Amino acid sequence: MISLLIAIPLLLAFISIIWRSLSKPLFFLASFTNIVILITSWFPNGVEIHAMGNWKPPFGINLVFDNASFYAALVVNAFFLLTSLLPGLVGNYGIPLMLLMAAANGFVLTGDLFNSFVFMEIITITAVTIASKKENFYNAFKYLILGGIAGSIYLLATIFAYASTGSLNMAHVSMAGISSSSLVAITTLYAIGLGVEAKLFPLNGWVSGVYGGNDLAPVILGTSVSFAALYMVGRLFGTVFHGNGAEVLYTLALITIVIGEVAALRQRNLLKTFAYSSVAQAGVVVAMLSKGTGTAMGLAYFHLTNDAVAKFVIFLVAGFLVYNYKNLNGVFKKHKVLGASFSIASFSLVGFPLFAGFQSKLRIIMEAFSMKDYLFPSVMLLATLIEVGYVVRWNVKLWFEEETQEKAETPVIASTLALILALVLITVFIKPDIFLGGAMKMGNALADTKDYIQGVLSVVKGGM
Amino acid sequence: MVYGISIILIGIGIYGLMTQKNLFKHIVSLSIIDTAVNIFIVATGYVSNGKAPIYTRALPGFSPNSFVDPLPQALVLTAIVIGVGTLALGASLLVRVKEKHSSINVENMKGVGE
Repeated sequence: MISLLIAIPLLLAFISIIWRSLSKPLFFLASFTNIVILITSWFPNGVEIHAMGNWKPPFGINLVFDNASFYAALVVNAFFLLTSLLPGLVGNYGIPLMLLMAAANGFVLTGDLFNSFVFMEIITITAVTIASKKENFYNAFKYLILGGIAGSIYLLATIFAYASTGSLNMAHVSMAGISSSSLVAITTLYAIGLGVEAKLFPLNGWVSGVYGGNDLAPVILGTSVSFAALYMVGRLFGTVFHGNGAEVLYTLALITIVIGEVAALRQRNLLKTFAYSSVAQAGVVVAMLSKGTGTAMGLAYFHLTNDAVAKFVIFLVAGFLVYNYKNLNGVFKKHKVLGASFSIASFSLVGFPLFAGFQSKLRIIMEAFSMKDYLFPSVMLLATLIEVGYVVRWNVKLWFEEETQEKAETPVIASTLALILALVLITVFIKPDIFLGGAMKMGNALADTKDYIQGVLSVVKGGM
Repeated sequence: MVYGISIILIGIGIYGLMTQKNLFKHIVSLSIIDTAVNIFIVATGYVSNGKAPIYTRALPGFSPNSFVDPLPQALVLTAIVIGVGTLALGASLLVRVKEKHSSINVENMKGVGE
């Protein structure tokens, strides 16, 4: 069943090359089917693997389906489904979106290091194609170059791991243990290789250009693809390397938070402001992931889920505004629903009480204190102060300043979606378990190396 | 020796990316890094006086210990294909960059920048 998550979007993408006019409905069909498949296998509570061609691990390629990859795949596909409901946004990009969906699913599900490299390269290539929408060619090119180097370095790290342990299977590598002499090289190379997609400093130079260049790229790259990339950070550093090499991630993450927030504050472009804010949030998540315990990783993914929902709303609204109005002053007077959703999402980003972000930020700070880490909470509180600055500034500008232009047509589906997601953010504040339950299961599954190794190497359930 | 070559090539690639103003040379540098990594991978599977990894008793002096590791070669094949895809996309983007900004030299491009 699980291999269908990759096969269906891939197949439908090839079909829509022949019937181009069908690409939008087929994209919707692919994401809808994937969500249905995921719902029918709700939280496996164990490790299921799907050995391709019935090659039993550690040989061949296998897909691993446990609580962690289930939750990650659910979030990834949910955002693709939401995007597919917006035909105006998808435009002619149905085929790259389907390929991106196949690759993101594969990246999340695979249990093989080299296979994850292949999926990461497909993610880069399709993401660059999407980034080039609205003639944003130069920024897309820069993203391609950075992504290409990251891919090469990821491949190098994979080969080092193979040379060190004689296996490419994640569970087998984890069990064999990497020799201490090559551990530093491998973890550093993986940190660099994943750093581009995970938006870690200093590899995040592409983010503002790509997210600020069109309306589609931030909506899908800032939510689904970020989640897939950060899932892989947790899987590699939490499960495969047993928390080794996390110091590199922790240091980079703290720098990323500060630089991201300061850059967001200085930015005068709406999309780019929140692109940098998304960089900073990725830093928060990676800092939490580097702690390596189940609770810390669970909270990191809880925060990431909240952030992704908020960012989806923000980028959706911002993309509509930026490409329909020359001057953004007071535009929310004409679009009250969009404005309300934007404000709720941006307040959730800061972590004001009454919104989902408060629940995750508070828990993260408390967890960090309980681990006797005082540096990260102080950096995070400083970052929150800066966030208050730019979020309030943008809200004031968009709501209250003198309006000058004629009203553009309100996008009905987009405003409905934005409003529903904004209400979800408020609901999560009241009942955090909606996201927290799944995220905690994910964190615990990632931290539980023993179960993962045993599950992959002993049980074989189903072939193709 | 071979490892040295691939490390030098990676260095050349990174130097090219950092110093060149012409965007096409960035693609060339990326391609050099790709090749260097591929050389490195093939070198890890090398065994001196090794045999082709075919499991048969028909050959005289058969011993699995002298097999060359075939897996790195399979990986390199895949990596080369992916590299070609990346290069093709990069080149096609550059054509559009040239059309839009009238140059592919960073210093002469029009309409770029904050």
